[in-house]
Amino acid sequence: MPTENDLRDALGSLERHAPDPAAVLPPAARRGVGRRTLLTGATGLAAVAVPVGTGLLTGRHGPAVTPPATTIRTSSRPASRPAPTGPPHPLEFGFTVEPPPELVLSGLFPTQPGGQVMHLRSRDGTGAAAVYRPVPGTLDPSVLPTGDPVTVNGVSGYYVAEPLPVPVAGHQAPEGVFLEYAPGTWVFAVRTGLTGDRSDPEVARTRREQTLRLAEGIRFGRAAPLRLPYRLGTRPDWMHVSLGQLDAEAPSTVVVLVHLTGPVAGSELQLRASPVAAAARFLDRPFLEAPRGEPTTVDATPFRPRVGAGFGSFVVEVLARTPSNVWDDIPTALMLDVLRTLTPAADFDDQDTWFDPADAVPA
Amino acid sequence: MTFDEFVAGRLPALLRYAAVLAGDRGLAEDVTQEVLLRAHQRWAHIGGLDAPEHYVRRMITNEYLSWRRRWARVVPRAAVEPADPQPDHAGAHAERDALLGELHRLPRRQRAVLVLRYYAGLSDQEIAAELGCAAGTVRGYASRALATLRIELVPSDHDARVVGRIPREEAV
Repeated sequence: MPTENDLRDALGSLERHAPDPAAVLPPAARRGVGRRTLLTGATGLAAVAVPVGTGLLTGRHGPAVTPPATTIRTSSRPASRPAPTGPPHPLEFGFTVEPPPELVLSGLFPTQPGGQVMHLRSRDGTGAAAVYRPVPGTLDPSVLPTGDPVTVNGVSGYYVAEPLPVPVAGHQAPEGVFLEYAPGTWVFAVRTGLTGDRSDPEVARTRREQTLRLAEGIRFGRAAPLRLPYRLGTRPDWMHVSLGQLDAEAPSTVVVLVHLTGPVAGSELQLRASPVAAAARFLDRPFLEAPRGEPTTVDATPFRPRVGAGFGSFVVEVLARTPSNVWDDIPTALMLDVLRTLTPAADFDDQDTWFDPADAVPA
Repeated sequence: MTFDEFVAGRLPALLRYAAVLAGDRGLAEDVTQEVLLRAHQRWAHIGGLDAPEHYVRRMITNEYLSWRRRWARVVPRAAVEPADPQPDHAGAHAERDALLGELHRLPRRQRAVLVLRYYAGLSDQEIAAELGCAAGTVRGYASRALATLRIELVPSDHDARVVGRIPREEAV
């Protein structure tokens, strides 16, 4: 049983997450803060609305509905098959998961180079799960712990009930199922937050069943589990999607976050789409959100630029992130270009009208 | 004290506090950045306080408590991290990770109470002032959080708790 001192030590260990002060407020940029006028109210909005409005509002309700993508899934009883060689698009996966009722998809992440991980979280916030697919052929199974042999949907593997060298939501997974779905090619389904003392045989059995149920939901074959409520019209050579995140607490509160590589090494653009309920003040108009600085001088401020636009039922925001907070690397004009050329889905509340990732963002 | 002087002297400690509170570098960065911007706007008032760092720490706490959860960024890790070659260390890390995992799942207000009590070293009365609630409420939050974490309470630890793992003057 941990003690208060263990708690102090654990909290103290989190100091390692402290950001570099330069990343928060670089001294050179800080000197400019006092000279900036925060962009608030109608004046600021109008300043941005004029140049941006035409391009955005013409596409406000989007084009004719694009037919829903065909998500290729295996049958309800998938069999072992040759391993995919790698995804053609970072948001298209070599597998998908039909989660058990208590879990919802929360994120999709390509891992370097070519691996994939899908995160899920419990609806009540008490746990998390993840399914990993390392790069086929790259995992030495001898580094994995051994466990009880299991067969899941015809695929052989084993169940391991011990702390695993696989993180879930930032901490170590206590149990999981490892499946070798093709020679040398593995997929892991791991869980955290399952309740009860596993030394109790009944609890152990229940937790094993819960973990196996996650594994049973894995479907091999190409899938695009994260569709996007917009399509980008600008596709510079440097722009590539790096990862996507979906937060779907309920159909009406879906938030989609896509990270795109920026124009210089280490920089990044983030596109967040969320329903208007989360940002009602931005309805139907472009904005440069205060307190990010004036549109003509925002590059010189230490604060991250953020621009966005409303599309009736949802908002898309573009944020910049650079390793050194040199905002000249990602001019606001470029971020506005992304917004101007963006085509919104016809209906944010109907994911069938959303776009396939391969169609929506550059691979 | 000017804003620049304050930032130069206190920013690292504020960032450490934000990191412990949020448990995430990106969120700590975002929260601190937002707070510093607002603090700068109101520096004429904040700079004249006896302890501006305590005021700013309270701003960080409140910003964290109200931060939109769905915008928290998730940083993917390598699919498989190498196992620790030293079993004892691995075990200790596993226990700490488990504790941090439980801590991460606490309601934010309960987590904030634990951070203020066990990291910043505040008394329950001071935490109550920080969070704008009664000391009894703080004790209730702490009690529930400690029960959730299954923390063994050792009476002799009380003095250490009040002093805190980090000297008060260092822990913003």
